[in-house]
Amino acid sequence: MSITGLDKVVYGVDDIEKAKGFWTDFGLTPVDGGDATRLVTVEGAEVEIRSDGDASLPAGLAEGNTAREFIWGAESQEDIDAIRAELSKDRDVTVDDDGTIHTLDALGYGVGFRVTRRREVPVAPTAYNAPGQPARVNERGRIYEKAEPHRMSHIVLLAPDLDKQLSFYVDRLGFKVTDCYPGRGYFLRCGGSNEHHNLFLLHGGDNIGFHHIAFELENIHEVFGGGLHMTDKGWQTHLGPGRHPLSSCYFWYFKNPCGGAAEYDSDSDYITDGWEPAEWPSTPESFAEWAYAEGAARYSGIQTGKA
Amino acid sequence: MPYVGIDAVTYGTSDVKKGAKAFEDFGLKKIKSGVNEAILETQDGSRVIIRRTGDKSLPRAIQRGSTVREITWGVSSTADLARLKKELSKDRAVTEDRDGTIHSTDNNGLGIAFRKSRRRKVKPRSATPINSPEAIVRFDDRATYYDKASPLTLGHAVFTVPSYKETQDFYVDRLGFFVTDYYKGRGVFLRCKTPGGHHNLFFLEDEAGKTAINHVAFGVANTHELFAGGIHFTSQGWKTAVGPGRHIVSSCYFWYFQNPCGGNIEYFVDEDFCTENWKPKHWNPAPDMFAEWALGDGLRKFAGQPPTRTKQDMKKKQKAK
Repeated sequence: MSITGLDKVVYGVDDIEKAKGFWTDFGLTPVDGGDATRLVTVEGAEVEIRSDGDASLPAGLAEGNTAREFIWGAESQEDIDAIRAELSKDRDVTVDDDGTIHTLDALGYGVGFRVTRRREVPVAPTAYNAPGQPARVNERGRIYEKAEPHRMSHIVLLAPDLDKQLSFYVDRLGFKVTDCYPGRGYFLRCGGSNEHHNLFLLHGGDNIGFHHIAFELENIHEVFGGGLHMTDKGWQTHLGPGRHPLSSCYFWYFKNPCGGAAEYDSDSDYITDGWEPAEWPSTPESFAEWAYAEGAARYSGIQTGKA
Repeated sequence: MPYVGIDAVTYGTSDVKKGAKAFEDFGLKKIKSGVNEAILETQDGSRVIIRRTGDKSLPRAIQRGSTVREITWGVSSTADLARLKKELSKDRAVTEDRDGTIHSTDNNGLGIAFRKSRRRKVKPRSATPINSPEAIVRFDDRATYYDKASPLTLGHAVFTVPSYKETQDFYVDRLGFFVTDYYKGRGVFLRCKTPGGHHNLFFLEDEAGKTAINHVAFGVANTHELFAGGIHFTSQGWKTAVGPGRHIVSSCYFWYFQNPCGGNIEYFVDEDFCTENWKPKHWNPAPDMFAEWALGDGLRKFAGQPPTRTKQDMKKKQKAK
């Protein structure tokens, strides 16, 4: 069974218009049709917003607005059939009219699987100039007015029972461990994905619930341009901008009215089976090389703030 | 094309040792260090020379206190030197060193010198390629993390001057520089060669009519090195002037620090690169044109609590103290 990545995340919220405003400012594109509000990345991965009272949704494991279901994309219908057969061994699996299958994971998070609707959209590599090594000639560096998230890259779920959850995703669904904080956190990529992680399982004591979702952008310029636009629109920074040592990416997290945080990232590691997973200590240095706690605003005179 | 770039910047300062410490922490390699003179260089051999304010060998200062006293331009050949000497001798004093370096002053009284360039060709240190979605160029290879910067080159110097137009005329008409961009009615960005980096000089008109150093800038390999270099320099106790941030004109990421030798020193990366087909633009000199964004107090290494840490970890840490 070859799961390739995140296809869709469904939120249950008390204010659908506010949620739609957040994701629109974040740079997702609203799409028409259906009975829910949906917005998509460049590749076509979806954020779906439903009312928190919607009885068709799996229960949320965090209080208040939160992500209620995570739909993973796979290459083919054979993959979906195989996942259905595997998971039906010990839990209820339902099937939608459109063929998407739904169930709960080992800790009760709503999960689904469908043949992926994402399509690859090529991106021109960004040309950077270093002294004596020009790659961008007679062309000013791009300044982004806002972000346009390319890919839905990962989610982070709190896991009070890490072993149980790891076993479900690794042994039952074919996810692979890319890196870990032993006993604290595990970076997993889908069996059919080259991304550093599509799922991070985080042990936070007894806490359970959705933590954040991340979207990959073209380059560092877009991380800043996107973050500045979000700040202009009044959305609050959770943490960032900054840079993670694990996965190597630049990041900027925003507080999300749909629950948890939403992250921009760029320049993440890409992984083949030749990758050597590493164990990392749970230290500030492993989490971020640097991070600005208060965000950054568009320049209109010097911004002050504490580093 | 006569110019290679800035071969050296010479400072006159009250405390040579402190100045040398600043540039060493900034990432330059120390070549010579004494009480009267220190010499440091970038990877490509462009140099910072630091001497005492009262040193008689220095050209006259453009302002009181610690400042830049001379900019030495590296040229390709001795024929270029002869041509520059002839041109400048028309209306100003030109002296020649035993090693063939010629010295004079620009229209603002700033010391300028020219010599056959001693810069070396270098490549950026093993920087890892940068990934974009669907444009993956780095597989199974964590990106580079730098402990500190090691600037590749001395890129540009910036001065405030009484008249940017007169200064532009001197550098373009007499010395053969090229205009890259303008701050409309306020300043001009000049490069010494084409094709070449966006600017080697920027002159900003000062309302009070004074000539002064604003900053000297050093090019690094990538944004990773820029952030890490600034964090290291901060950890050594040096103060941010402004940054990190990103300029709109020239497109580069920047981080400026206060320099005990006078003015600021800047790390920059990813500046525009211009050939003869580059079209200069007249930019509106509004504050939001200075930067897309900029932090005022710099950045430090992350010292917050990572989400993978438990309350017990923190208790243990407190006990350990």
